[in-house]
Amino acid sequence: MMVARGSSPQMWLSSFLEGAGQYLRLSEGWKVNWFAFYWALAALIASLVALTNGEPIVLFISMSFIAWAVIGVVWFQFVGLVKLQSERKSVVLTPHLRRTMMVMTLAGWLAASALAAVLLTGQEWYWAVFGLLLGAAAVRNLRFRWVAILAVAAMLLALHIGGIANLIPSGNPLLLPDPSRSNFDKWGDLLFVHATALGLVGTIRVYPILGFAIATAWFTLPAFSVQLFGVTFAHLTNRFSDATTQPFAGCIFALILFGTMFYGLFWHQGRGGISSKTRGAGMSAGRYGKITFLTLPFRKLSPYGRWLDKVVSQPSSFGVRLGLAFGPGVRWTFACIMLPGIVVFGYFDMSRSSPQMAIESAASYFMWTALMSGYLLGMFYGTSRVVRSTFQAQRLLSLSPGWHRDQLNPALAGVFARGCFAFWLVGMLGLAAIFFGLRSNVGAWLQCVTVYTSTALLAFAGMLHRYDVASPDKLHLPHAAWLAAPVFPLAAYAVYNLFAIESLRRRLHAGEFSSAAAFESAWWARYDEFGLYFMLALLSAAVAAWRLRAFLRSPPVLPAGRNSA
Amino acid sequence: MIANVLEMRGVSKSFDHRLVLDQLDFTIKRGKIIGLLGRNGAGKSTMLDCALGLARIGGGEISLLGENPAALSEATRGRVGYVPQQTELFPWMTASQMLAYFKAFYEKWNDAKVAALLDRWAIPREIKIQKMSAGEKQRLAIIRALAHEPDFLILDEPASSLDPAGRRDFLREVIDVVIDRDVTILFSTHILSDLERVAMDVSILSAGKILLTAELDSLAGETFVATGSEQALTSLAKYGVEPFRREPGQLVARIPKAIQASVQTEDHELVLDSLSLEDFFIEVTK
Repeated sequence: MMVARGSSPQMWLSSFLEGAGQYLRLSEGWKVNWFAFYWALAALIASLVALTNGEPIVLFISMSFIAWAVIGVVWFQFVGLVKLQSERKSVVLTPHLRRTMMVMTLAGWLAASALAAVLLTGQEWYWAVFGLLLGAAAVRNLRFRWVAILAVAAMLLALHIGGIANLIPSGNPLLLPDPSRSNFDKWGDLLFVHATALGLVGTIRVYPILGFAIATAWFTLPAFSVQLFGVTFAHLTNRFSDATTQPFAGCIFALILFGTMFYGLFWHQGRGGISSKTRGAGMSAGRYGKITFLTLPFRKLSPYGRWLDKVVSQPSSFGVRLGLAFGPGVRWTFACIMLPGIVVFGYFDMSRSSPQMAIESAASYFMWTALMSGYLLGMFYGTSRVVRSTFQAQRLLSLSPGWHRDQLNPALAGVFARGCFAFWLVGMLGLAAIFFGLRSNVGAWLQCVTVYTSTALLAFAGMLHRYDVASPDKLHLPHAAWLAAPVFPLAAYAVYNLFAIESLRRRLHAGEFSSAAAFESAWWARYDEFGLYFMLALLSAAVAAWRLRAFLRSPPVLPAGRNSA
Repeated sequence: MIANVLEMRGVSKSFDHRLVLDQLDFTIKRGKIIGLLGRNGAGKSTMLDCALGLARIGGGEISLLGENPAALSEATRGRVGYVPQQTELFPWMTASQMLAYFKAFYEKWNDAKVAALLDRWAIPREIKIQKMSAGEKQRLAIIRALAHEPDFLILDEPASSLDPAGRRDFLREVIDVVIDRDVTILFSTHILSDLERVAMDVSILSAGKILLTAELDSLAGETFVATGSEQALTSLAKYGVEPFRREPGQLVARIPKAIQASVQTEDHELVLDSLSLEDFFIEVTK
């Protein structure tokens, strides 16, 4: 029964209920509710802790867990359904089902966000808007592109308003460990942590896109797992004041997650699942990848891009490869995220105390919001796309001679590369903003550099994965490049903390600290951050080196008889 | 030369403890065109996936062109063509790009055939796949599967999105392929008229097993609903007739032409009503 636009509330309700019924039937008995159960249990424990020590932050965490449970239910049901749809022809998204899913997704996000909002600052509207927008972005899965566009634009606005609001001291109970950070950063952290963790777990859970999960999660995992689990653990154990607790707990959880992903990447794929069906394209076109990468800004940002597009999009292998890596998503992402951001924030930031501050703030904004928006969009867009089309493509490719089992599906690589490009672009703009702002801010500069470096590496690794697969043994190289990607941001952040330690010493000599204890506390915080990130950088480097070693040791084997396109 | 292009012995496959293929046995001889019939959810796609090594089997053995499908050699992969049920591949590529991309994998690629089919089926070469209609996507998938001139073609409901004219055109191509190159074809379908148009043999999948495999021509005039007393129905067993479905006073069976006269002469209580292929399919898969 189709419900016409403008029909009565009763008909809407009837339609909704019908859709809900389908939703429940199709989601295979809510079998993924283990996730919700897990978070609900965590929420219960956290709530008990909160009751015993009464710290607002613990209460926040407990409510956050509850919010996660809600999100988990909706998210996984949703993903499961999309997956089902892709795998079984008989599952059809009826108008009822579609509407119900939209409503449930939105409701889930709203509920989650509202819960957090009430406990945090009383700025419910801001969180509600944020939740609504995230929900809308999730709806993007259903190919409601305009909703996603609206969501992104509005999210930027909401973030900005929220960011400004939080610059005003208001007794914000959210106390992240580093007291030197601005409220804006804290909000960014919070949003980032949750968004990333959600995406991370979601992608890991959705099995066929493990590669995508790793591609996105690897970049962000160390910092966010540390923040999410570290902060949580520190508070739950009531050892917030102990500066060593957070990094320690964060490391443990990070290692668990790293281990999970490593298992998925390097071992599990050999034993079935869709990964075992991925095989390499077997095309020796590494140089094309490099050329493509180098010409990317030119192609995308200049009027000559169209001409170049035309030249390279001839039905040749080059055009095909290029088309594979960069589709229309790049321009769309750019248009929706960057341009409104520049306009809106450029306008608002003019009200800051100085042009330099405005520029720095804008650069910082670009970093955080675009990264997050890009990430979220990448998650939603990529997930739906990968699950829907890649799954089928992967099956076909696995039957094609020359497709190597370790090879990343070009559809995946394409999504991945687009995401990388968005990050890369952000890094470039951030750098430009910093340089043009004539402000020598080591932290912001490093932030830009690390983003740029890591994303460039990731993009390059994606290219390699896609292109440089003339022989299976060479697959170790993209793996190594991929795994090396986080080394740079991690190491850079570690170095940044060394600078910060040096700065603390200068401030101590200048008599800026009220007590030795205050200096010591600040010093330990920086020192721990340095140690943690240095260790994670080492870990990443070691893993990358391990793959590089495998690459160097593997015999050169070239495929024969390839039909050059 | 391998006589059996595909052999499945005792193949089982389940999803979440739900048995989809149950000790399934199935064989295709070289040069045959077999239509695989089955109701929605009968496991046709799963069976084809297993045959191609796209799904892991829970038990049994499969031989595809003499090899284990889970570890097909490159040469054998080059001899297999596959059109999946869902044909949305790389939606951001044009038809030309997608075909060029796949061409890179294969040693053999018939450009002339590809061009001819693109023209004949009016597939726009430079329009992105995501902009194409379902029928165009399906035709494109078929072209891709035929382009490398496979020896064995597996088609999972290949004509479901095509209009009657498109289906007819596609079936003509299938027939041409077989005539030209002695290709073996296994295709699943719901459209019985398509099957009757091209298939040599038909296999019916039901309850996880192949209920029947027979030459289509021989099946015509041999499928019946037999009505009569229980004794009369039971007496069919002595002719070697095994019912596909039996209810009180009635059974559905294949009764070979050679014995039809004897059966009716001997037992006047038995009434045989001939079934069309479609009716037969519906009856045996009830």
